[in-house]
Amino acid sequence: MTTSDDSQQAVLESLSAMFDDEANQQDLHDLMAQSSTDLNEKMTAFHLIQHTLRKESDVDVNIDASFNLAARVSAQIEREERQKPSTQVVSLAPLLTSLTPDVVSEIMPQKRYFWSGFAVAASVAFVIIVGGNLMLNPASKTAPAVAVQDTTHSLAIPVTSLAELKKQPMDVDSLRLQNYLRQHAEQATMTVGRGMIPMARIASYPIKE
Amino acid sequence: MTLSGLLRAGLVVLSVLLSPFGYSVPTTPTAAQLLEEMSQSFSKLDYDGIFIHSENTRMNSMRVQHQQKKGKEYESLVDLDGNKIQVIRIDDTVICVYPNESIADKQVMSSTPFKRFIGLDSERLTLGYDLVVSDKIGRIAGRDAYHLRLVPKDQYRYAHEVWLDKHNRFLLKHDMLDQNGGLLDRIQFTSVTFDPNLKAEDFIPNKSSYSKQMVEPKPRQIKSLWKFDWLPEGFSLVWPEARSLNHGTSMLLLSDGMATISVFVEPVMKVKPTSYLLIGATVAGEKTLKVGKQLYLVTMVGEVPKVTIEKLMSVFMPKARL
Repeated sequence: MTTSDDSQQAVLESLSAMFDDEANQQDLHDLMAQSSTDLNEKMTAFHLIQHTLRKESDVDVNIDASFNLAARVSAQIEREERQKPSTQVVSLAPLLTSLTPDVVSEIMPQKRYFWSGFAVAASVAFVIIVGGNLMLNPASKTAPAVAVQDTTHSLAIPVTSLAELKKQPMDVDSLRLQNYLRQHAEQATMTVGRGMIPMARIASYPIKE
Repeated sequence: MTLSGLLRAGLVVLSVLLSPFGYSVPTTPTAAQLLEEMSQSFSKLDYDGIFIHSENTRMNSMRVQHQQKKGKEYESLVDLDGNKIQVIRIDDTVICVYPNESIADKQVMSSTPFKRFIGLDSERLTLGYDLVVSDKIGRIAGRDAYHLRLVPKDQYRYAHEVWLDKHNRFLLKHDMLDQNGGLLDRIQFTSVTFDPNLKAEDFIPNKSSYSKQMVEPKPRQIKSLWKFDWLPEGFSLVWPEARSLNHGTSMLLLSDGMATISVFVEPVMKVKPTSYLLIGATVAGEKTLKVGKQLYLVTMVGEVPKVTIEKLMSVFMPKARL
């Protein structure tokens, strides 16, 4: 039996999927089933949560909740219907390009890197942006399987092709990875006795344009 | 006296002459001695040098300065190729100096002092590496240097080669190599002086620049709910428990004395594909785990071969039902 809590959770998950650029058609239809007011309220709450979760990354992910998400989701669904996608994953990128530059830059801030020439971390981030040297698990080149270790039951999981992953621009998750790379480099500096010099590897310092 | 008798007598005389009363044959220090002294040289010596860092096709140069003055430790690291950003440390105070305020506002900088070195554990190093000191003296940045190799005993770590100043054990060059001997990462001084005569003013930001003092967040220790069912020989947890990061993520740190692997665990709402990023010597991998009804994204980052991250991912699990 589906409870109200379950339904709310499903909507939040769909919103999360959308902003992770991983929404499938079911997610979009679930979102459309909500009233515009409800949707905007949930989106505001969702962004507050996201902002709180990501505040360490120093990225402001607040956006204007008044922009008509429902209409854009609807337009996206229409596009998807016309295009008959071969994968289950919907890219959010076309939707974002129709937003104002300010909103786009806040959701998906462009990055520049200081010290990128010598920074391992920066190099990784750069690779994510250009998608040129992204190396995923060779065993999953055609359709990377999602590994979920679950001892109780399996989970229905959308599959994203490698090509589609490469096309995706940098998102908050990439920033998350940069944060992790920086944290790692800092701790490595303290763990191995090479003074300040290993800090040369850090230097993944994103800049909001 | 026979010829053999004469030789024996000569050897006795020679051994007396080379005894503590006379000349002693110079011996190469052991690898453990060299590494121990290397780890101390960064904070004990005064120096001013320029080094390059290269990985893959990328290369950059930096200037590092260090001076002990009136009981205080001054250190500075300047990017010489990109924007002129400087990181200054005076004891535990870290100041970042930017060309102007607008860059500073956009810049996310490290806020951790750099010298919190935990200490070299040469015994642990020998679990994972064969330590080999070359009997040949190398030459780096115009200085004679001992050449030391850390040869991995298994496939779970990279090889390291270091060149240490013959006179003060300062690290002049460090290469990280893959299993085939391919160069992954290099740090090499091109010039360095150990009599820099630096002044306190050298560590004061220029008035026209914009400076910002970095505040190090106090790490919060939390009980670790995760464990590894297996670890490569020599690797162990650096902290007994996990550290809590600001956004609900917990962090664990592994080290074998040379290589480090960071592990980040955060609750998520969506499954992420298992994926790996390889660049230079660094590997990052992420994988979603489901425990009960909760999904967790596990991210591991380290300067180790990909196989190490893959295997660690497969043996990482909760200590009990979360």
